[in-house]
Amino acid sequence: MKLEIKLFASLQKFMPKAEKVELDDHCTVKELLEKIGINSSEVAITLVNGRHVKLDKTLHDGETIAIFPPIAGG
Amino acid sequence: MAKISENEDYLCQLLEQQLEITGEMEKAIEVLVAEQGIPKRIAESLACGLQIFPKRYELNAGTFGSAGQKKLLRSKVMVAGLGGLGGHVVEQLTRCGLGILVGVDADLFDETNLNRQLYSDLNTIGLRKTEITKRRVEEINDAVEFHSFVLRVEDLEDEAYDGVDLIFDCLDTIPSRLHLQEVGGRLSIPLIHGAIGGWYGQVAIVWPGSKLLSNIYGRRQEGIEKVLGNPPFTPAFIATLMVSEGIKLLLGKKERENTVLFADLLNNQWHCVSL
Repeated sequence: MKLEIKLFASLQKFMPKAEKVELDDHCTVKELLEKIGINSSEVAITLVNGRHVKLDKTLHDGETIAIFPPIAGG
Repeated sequence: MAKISENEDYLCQLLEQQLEITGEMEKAIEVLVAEQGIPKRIAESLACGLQIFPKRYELNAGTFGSAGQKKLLRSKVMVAGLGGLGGHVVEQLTRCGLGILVGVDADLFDETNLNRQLYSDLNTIGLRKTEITKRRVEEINDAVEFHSFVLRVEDLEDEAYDGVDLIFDCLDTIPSRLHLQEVGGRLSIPLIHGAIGGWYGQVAIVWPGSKLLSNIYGRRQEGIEKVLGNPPFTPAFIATLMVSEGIKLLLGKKERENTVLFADLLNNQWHCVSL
């Protein structure tokens, strides 16, 4: 399956060169993170097609994933 | 406050009389404060109710309106954390004419604050943040009351939140922020959350009962600021968004929603995410 990935703030450096990333069917958000080299401790919010999901969410062909890091300074 | 609201019409009449005598609202307010022993912010709020703005609020008038300025002068907010975000938040609220500010911070200014914290300078290193912030508030607007607690938010008693309409979460650790979320839920006080790291920041309203911060942070102990630090411009930018969100909420211009606004100052991108 192919997914569109959007990485924000400090996670942008992990952006794969290809705009759409090929993954095995039934891959989870956590597996996607591992594939593109992001440690789950670096992730605060994960959206699939604009909806907030947990890391064990199964992904489907054509979906858009947006990932934001934790920001906590004051 | 009950006493003032009962006597409001009478106090307004006195203020109008003094305005006729002195010819200037600022002087009429001073006389009313001296003769009636009411707080200056209340006297100013009465002037706003008469549609005569004290000069220091004249350029707020078109945006807030007389009822809005009066509401702000009678509001009480807590600013938790008087560092990078908190200093800018206090400065802007003071100039807005926010009646009572409650500042909470246990720390002293140190050299590492100099790059971004508004009230840190070579003369304030080693001094208490609450003390310096109070002094600054008094220098800007002597009608604003500044109360302070030299404590961590985890050590505040519930009485510290008495009458607080809104809490600004300007803290710098995740456990403290989650504590504030719990208190806001328990005492039915909304939070304006702000956080920064490097070129990036986020702002959200945490409504009582919402677990928005738990959803964002989970069990994490720290964020990207531990690597990226905090440059001078990001706290000023995020604090500005926090204050405008807070003012909108106090003035009833804000719908209840669970969204986080992310700001990326490196790429000039803004994202509003619903949770």
